[in-house]
Amino acid sequence: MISSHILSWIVFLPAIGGLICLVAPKKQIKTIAVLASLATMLLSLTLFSTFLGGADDPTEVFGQSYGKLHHVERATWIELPGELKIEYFLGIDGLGFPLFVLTTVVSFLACLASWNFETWKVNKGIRAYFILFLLLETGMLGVFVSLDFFLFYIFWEVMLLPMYFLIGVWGGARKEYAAIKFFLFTLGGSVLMLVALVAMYFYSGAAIDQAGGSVASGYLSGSGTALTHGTFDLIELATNPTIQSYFSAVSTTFLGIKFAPIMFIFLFVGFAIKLPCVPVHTWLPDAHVEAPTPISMILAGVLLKMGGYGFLRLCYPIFPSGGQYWAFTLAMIGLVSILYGGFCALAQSDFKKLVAYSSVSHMGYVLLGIAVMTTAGFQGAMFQMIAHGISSPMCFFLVGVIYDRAHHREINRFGGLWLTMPKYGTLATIGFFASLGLPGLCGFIGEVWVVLGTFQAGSNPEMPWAYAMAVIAAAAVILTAGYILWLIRRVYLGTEREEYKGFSDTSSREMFILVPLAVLCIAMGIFPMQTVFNFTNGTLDLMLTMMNNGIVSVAM
Amino acid sequence: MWIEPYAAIGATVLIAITVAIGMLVIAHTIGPKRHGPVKDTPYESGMPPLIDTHRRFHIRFYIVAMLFMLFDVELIFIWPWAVSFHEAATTQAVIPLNHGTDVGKGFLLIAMGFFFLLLLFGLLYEWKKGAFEWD
Amino acid sequence: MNLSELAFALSPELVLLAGACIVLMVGVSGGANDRLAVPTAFLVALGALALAVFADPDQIGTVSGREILPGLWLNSVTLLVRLTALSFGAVAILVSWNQPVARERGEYMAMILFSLLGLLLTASANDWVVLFFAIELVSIPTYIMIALSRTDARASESAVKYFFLGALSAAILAYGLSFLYGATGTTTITLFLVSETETSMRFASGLPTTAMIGIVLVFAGLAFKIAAVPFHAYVADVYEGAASPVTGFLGFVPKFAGFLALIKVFMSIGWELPTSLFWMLWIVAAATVTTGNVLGLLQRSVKRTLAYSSIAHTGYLLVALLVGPLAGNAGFMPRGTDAILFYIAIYGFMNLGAFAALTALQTDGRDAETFEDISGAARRAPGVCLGLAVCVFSLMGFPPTAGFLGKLFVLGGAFSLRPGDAMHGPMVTLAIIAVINSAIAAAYYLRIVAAVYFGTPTTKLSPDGGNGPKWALAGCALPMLLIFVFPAEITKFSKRSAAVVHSITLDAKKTLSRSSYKPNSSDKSVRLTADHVDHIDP
Repeated sequence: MISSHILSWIVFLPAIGGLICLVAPKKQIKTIAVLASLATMLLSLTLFSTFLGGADDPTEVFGQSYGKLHHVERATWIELPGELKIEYFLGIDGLGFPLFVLTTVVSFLACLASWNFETWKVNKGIRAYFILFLLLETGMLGVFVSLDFFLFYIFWEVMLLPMYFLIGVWGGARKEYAAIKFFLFTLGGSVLMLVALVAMYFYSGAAIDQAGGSVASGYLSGSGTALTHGTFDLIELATNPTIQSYFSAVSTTFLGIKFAPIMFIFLFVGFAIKLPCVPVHTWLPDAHVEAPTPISMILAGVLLKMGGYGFLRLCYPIFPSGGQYWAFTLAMIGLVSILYGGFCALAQSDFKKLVAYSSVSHMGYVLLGIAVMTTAGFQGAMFQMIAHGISSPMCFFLVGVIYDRAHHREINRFGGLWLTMPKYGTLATIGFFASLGLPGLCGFIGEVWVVLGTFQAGSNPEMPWAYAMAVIAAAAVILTAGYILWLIRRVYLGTEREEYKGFSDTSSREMFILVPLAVLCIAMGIFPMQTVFNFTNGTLDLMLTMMNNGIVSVAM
Repeated sequence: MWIEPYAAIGATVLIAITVAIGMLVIAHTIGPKRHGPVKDTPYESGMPPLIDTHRRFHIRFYIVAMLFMLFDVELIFIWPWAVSFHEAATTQAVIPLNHGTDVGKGFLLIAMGFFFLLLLFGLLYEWKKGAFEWD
Repeated sequence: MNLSELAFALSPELVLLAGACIVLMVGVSGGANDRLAVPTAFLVALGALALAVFADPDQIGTVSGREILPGLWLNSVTLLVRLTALSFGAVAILVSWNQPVARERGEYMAMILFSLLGLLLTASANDWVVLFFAIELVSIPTYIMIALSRTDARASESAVKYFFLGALSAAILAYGLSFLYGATGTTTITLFLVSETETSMRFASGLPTTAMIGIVLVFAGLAFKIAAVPFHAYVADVYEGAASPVTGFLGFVPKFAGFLALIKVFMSIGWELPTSLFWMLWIVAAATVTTGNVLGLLQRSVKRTLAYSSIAHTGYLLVALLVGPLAGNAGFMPRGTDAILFYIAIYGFMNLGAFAALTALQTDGRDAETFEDISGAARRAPGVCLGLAVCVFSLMGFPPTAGFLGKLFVLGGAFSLRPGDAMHGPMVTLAIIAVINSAIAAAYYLRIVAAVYFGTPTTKLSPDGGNGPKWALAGCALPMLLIFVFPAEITKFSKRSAAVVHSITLDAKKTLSRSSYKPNSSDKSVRLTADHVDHIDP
């Protein structure tokens, strides 16, 4: 029973835990929440058995072409005969799998990080906190495995609600402002996504009508499945030749503009806000600064990845010509994000804000890697997402550890912490060096791959600007090194300060959270193939092949 | 032309307006005007006014007036009904409905009975509310 | 048709009428009996609802329905309106369980019932005169309800304001209807096109000027009722002055009546809007959505915020009205009228739920009104605030609530035109304006939720508004979540109900396309033939 619906079980296990929290006695709530997230994580780790063979036999795991899914669950959810069919459609491939596992891992560690809830400044409503936390986990997991656009959108939106309350109720001084800003920015992006959702449904319907009212399914070829009206199936939208040729046709217009570029932008805005990239990144520092530590971990570790996942799942496979059309703009936005985020991080005196701006900079690499549409670029972007998903929660937790003791986050008021807390200092160095991109740690691989991918794109006659961008992106690593090294010098090195002398070193609970993250940072840096690439490259390469076949040069 | 039947009405309205405005204008232009403290008093006879002319009446006058108006208007409704009923009763005329059936004088009678029942309820309500009590 | 059949078919209306009279008498019966008026009214509403469910004789609920009396035509729309309006009425009475504080409970409850009766009659009216009277029956009790709902001067002020504007709009409406009569020589709505007089219009060359003037005037008159720009200015003042339960009532019943009447008007001309009229409505819809949401941002009082939200929702509904029952030809909710019926029914409950929450939260012994009043209320009344949050997120159109489906269906209607269609561009643009506005709206809806959950608690607040509002709130909030998860049946029901609009519009359109249509004098009716009925979903 579990094995046939494993994705549903994993997605809704936290929600079930939340339901139990609803009725459980107050003292047991923390335990139940941690157990629920632990069970979710363990269950999600069993998925490895599906993907482990990816290195030896890619075709078996990733299929001949984009669209091979595992653990598929399909059921009709809402059906108006002949008009509308919304499916409960879950499935996992090389794109969703690493992010899915990342989510369960980070959620479990963040749940552990909430263990000292009673000592927080706002420590009322423990029941509500953990219920919302678990609902948030369900929402995030749902996003990474739902392959029906409608279902995807529902998870995408529903996930906002717990986040909004978690920041707004248990946040810092300006929590209301930060929560509303976070919500409005994301909602602003997702209303455009809603327009795209409806438009794609109707235009795919129009494509099928034009082709005689019924066409064979693209990726389920041979299964006898026929489409008779529009569809929300994300894989179908990407792989069905009829729909694809209608979407990219020059004669298909939306409000007088070519369909693919405009839809690409409608989808892009929503994901770009989530990523976030300049200039729609301003919600991120506010949300991070006000959010409690575990929520910051989730925010940086998982939520930002949804933006990148959205690009790779929706924008590019469905509208490859849109990606081609906007390549320069997007790469430019990515580059600006890298530089702007870096410079802003350099200027911060608030520890948490610095880490937040470093996220903007790191996610800029993701956008740059995706925008150039090369093999190494895609792989690097994917790796960067996972690496950042490990290193940034670690950094935020490191900030949380010291905030719990010092009750402030002013970088300039710290100093010599390594001497006071040697274990903490060591782990902090690993975490921040991983974020810096030191060779041998996880941050390095992603950045190098992205830069390589950008160079690769330079050989494409349509992207002559790519060489210059690669050079600048590579040079920006110096910026990262600048703010991280300066940070480490100010906080951890130097002479011991009187006011911090009595601080206890990391507790065993804190070690339990930090050590796995540190181990992952190192492991991913040394074994990039075995930890990430083997599970993702198959799908990414097939996606690129499909896109390159499908690209039609679009002129507005 | 279509407007011809209305020409008489138009002419009447026009004449009425002309006469009304004309009289005012003529009085204003050729009438003698003398101003003075005595001339400007309300009563030129010299009787000083005792109280303000904008006196308030007790609200019960309005209630009675309103109730009278209501029942009066409702009575007017009975006139056209009576004409229809007479026709229905003498010529057995019916009102056809869209779906084949039709209604006759019996229906009219019941309808008016219903109307009176509602009136009766209104009257009862006013009574209970104390609208008929003068003090 | 005999009398008992007639009485049976009209039983919900008759029960409402008789019940209203009885409640009125109970209210003045003196002593402590006036307290009984409230439960009596509740039972009357439930009884009428039960009759509407069970007494569905023969054809009511089917597309062709039955013309029960001259000017009263019971059909599938009637059934939907009966069910929504009466269950809404029962919930509204629950919200008003402790209202008004003054003696006039009987009158107040009777007015609720009379207003509901008006709404029911609006749904079945098949004659301009009956329609006009039905709309007046909706409106006049609401003036009285506002005045009775509170004892302070603000209630009287808003009652007078609403009354004068309402009277003005009624005059404009009647004027417009007289033009329509003048253009066609008949007051029967479904016979509208089958005019026998010398001045019979020649529809082949478009609507005659008189009919155009009539439609514009009717729209202006009804725009007051539905609170569309530029006739929206009164809404915030009136909503603020009335007690919360009345405000929740005002947001739904007159609006629903107004939209039903508009549907009838456009239906009778085959939804063939002349270009100028189309653009007028387009501008009105865009302006209504934008005005409602932008001004909603500036408010300090929750009630005024919700008033502007009510204006904004009128705008969303106008988008669907503009799509109409014929325009769409693909995808989901291709008929705007289906979306209207679905959306407005949902809207009534989510809006009432928000006001029920305000009634349940008392500050200084009065209903909560401003953001300060409800600040931090979640600590004192977690259940009420959860219900409020569900209703507010539903108003925002956010999943997982029914409001999201409403928004989606309106959007689906606007997109359902073929990309090559001349109306496709304008309608899609309008839909995008509406969607962007729904993001703006989120800002003020979030302020309500933020005040309740993130604000610092005030000492003045107490969650003792009585149990009635709390039950009502549960009755509004729970369906919002349930309908989202299981939307199929209720969606199909609203589609089935709107099928009659589709078939009549189709009929009218056919008549329009016949340039010299000479009706057979013995067959004056637009009969429903089999070819309309095939549009009903099984």
